[in-house]
Amino acid sequence: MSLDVLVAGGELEALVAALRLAEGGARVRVLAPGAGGLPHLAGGLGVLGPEELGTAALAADPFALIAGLDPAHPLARVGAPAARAALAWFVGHLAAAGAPWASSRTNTPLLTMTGRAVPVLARPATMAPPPGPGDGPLAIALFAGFDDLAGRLLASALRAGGHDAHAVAVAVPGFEGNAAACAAALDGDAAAGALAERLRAALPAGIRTVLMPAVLGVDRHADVVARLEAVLGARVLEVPTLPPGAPGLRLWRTLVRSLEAKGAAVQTDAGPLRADLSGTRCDGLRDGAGALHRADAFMLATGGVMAGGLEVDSHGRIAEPVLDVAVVQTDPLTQAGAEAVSAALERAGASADERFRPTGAAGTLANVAATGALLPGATPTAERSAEGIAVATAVAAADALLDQAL
Amino acid sequence: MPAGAEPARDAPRAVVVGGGATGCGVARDLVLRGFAVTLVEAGELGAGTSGRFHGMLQSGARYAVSDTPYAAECMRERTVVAGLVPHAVEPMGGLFVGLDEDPPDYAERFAAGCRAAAIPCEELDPGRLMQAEPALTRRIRRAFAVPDATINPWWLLHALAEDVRRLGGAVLTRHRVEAVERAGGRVAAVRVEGAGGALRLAADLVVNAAGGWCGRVAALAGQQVTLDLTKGSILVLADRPVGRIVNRCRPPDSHDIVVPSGRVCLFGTTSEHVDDPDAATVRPAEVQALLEGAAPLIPAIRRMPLLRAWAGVRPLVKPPGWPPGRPVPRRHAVIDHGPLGLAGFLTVCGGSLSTHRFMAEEAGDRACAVLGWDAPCRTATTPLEGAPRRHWHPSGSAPPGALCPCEGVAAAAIEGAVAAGHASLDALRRHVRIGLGACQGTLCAARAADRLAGAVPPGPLAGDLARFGAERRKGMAYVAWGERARQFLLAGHVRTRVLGLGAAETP
Repeated sequence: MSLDVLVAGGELEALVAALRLAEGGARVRVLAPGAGGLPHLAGGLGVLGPEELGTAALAADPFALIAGLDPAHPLARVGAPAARAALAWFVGHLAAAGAPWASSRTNTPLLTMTGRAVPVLARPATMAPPPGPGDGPLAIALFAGFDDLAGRLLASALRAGGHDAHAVAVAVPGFEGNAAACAAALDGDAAAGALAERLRAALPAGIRTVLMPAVLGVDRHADVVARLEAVLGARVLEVPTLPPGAPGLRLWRTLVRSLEAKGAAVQTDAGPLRADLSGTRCDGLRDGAGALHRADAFMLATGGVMAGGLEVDSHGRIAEPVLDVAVVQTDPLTQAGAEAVSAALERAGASADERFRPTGAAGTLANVAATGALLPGATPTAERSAEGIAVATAVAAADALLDQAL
Repeated sequence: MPAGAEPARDAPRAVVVGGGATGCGVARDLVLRGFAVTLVEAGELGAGTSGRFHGMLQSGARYAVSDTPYAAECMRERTVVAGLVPHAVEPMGGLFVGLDEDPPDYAERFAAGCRAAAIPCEELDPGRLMQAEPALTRRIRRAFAVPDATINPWWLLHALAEDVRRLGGAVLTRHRVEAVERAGGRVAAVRVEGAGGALRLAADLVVNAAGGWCGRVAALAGQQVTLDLTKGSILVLADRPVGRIVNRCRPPDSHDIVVPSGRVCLFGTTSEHVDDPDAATVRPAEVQALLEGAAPLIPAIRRMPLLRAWAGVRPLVKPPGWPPGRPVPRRHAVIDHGPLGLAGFLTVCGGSLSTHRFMAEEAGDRACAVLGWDAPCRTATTPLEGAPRRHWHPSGSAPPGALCPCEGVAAAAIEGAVAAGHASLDALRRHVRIGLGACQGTLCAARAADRLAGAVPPGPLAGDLARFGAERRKGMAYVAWGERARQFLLAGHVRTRVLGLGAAETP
């Protein structure tokens, strides 16, 4: 009889852990407190990029940088070889699922709306580094009614960098609201067709590349991009938008489809979760409506402070609300300066043993593993490491849970 | 040019140092008296205390008992200022509430003080007030309504500065005073340095109106002004949990005032002596002290979303020989440095934004006396041309497609402000309130930067975005708990992952 695992959380680490568990033969359910959709995924898999964003850092090998981390850092716990293998497995899975991402063995720069770049190990196929000196004239598409990509800022930054960059404004029928909503609108045939035709009419001659907000469809993303490229006769690239972004929604849909294909169920909007505990065992999680979800083992992948997996009170005390497991922290509210406060909030986390088991009131919880941003010791904002930590620790914690059950 | 506004050929040349309420008020006062005026400000208008205070246009009721003449002055000036710049004033009214623990006899002394200062004051039924203001404690025993109001200081300053320009004066922002030249015991000129280089401004009169920086400006002229600088830290609450300004009905103290402002609400203040006017930063312990101080008035304060904390410095003038420990007077001082060895040099400091016009009137009177120039003050009776004649009310709901849904700022408002020359995110914050609401600029700063892209070169603009975000995050960090901790971290995530800016980047 296979292990029955309930994964709590709706962030990237929850879906990755569920996928790994399902591949390992477990029966898996995901219980997400919120709506899901990975709204904060900016556009790539950031694994580790140092704070100083020089050219060298943007091209650094993130796994080589792991050696320089504090041993308590989640990536250091996992170790460079296992982290590299986990990321490779994940990127391989995306390709197998029909949503391939571009990846390399080292970081590559990903173009943002300010013209600056962020270091990522892998990125959606439509996202790219900033244009190089030899790249021909390019256009930045400004979609009327869509405000979450500063296209004129990007155009002026590229022009200042010596590029022949043209801002081209087009009105798109049905465009309203944030990036996720606009992308869903472009899944419709009529909207995508109208966008392609209007852009073709508006583009100056000789444009070889068109940069667009990352709103080019969700479920029909590949079709939308192919159609635009065919009509425009130019390469179409996407630039990350303000959240909630469409790349996260696409990744969410891809992973949920993979899970469902393996018989795993994903339930969103479960509301705040609370555990029923018997000593050092978790019997089940109660959802917001009070229903009890039982399982043999539990993966706590509810995220850190930003995702709501940890809660801070006005005295600076940080608690884990689902199982009330022990949290290691310094007081964020007595730190001097925003960076120190941010680092203290991010470094706080559920202390966990070598099998990722957190500590409850009665001792180490026997059938629970904690993973992702809930683990202590990282500063993903400055490190640009959020997705790398999510994937590497989710794989490691899932493997630990499966090992233990064998 | 309006009739009578052209400076006469023999008009005295005045340089006013400081672009806060005091300096802008003095510049307008002097230009209306026929002086040839140049206003010099080191930063932007309102970069000092005028842009960093609780935003009250005081009825004076707060000082009705402790300093009744000053209270009367506030009430008189409050009415004048609200008539000059109604578009910048939200006349929401103020409350004074006495709790169980407040001195029982203070309420009667308060009512008598208001009567003596001619401040309209109406006693309210505490039960009905507590019904109308559910965020306030249930322990209100006495309550009074007074005509307190709030004012958008930047709109006031720009209206004053515009009037100065219209009347032939010059306003030089981003110009720092480097030296005050003297000749034979009189001021001769002010040397300033700006982005365009150095300027020498010949002057018959120099008015030092630099607020907390008055001591430094006086020192450049070889003069001494002793200031009492008090730092006050303020909490910013999301939304407007109270509909009116709320004071405790007790002798004025720290932690006892709530001021709705735009779509947010301020609670303050702490009170700490400082030596450096540039060193106004919040200490984490002050945040806890403010929470403790607020709890008797707003019991749910720790469960309310707080957007940020910030600090400002109040400059008062310490009269010569003032005994240590005794509270320094709130009322302003006009110092004629002629008897102190430098004729034609005046310092005006202290008071408040509410009384800035009267401060300017007294400074102008003294300037005329010193220079033998005969012209009466006209600021109280001369309307500010171009100022809209309706009172300011923050709109109740965001217009469709608002770029800043938190403060309800439409794209057109931002585009209009950019076209009017407000070509930085900070200028847009002051003029259309982007970045002041719940997201603290996490989303609207990039949207506004898109609108600035034509007006500002890209390098400086990315730097502006980084600096603006860093300043917003600094204030958010003080109150990063509950949902606000999530918003604070999201702001950092957007900064480093979506915008590609450095985590700590502040160009």
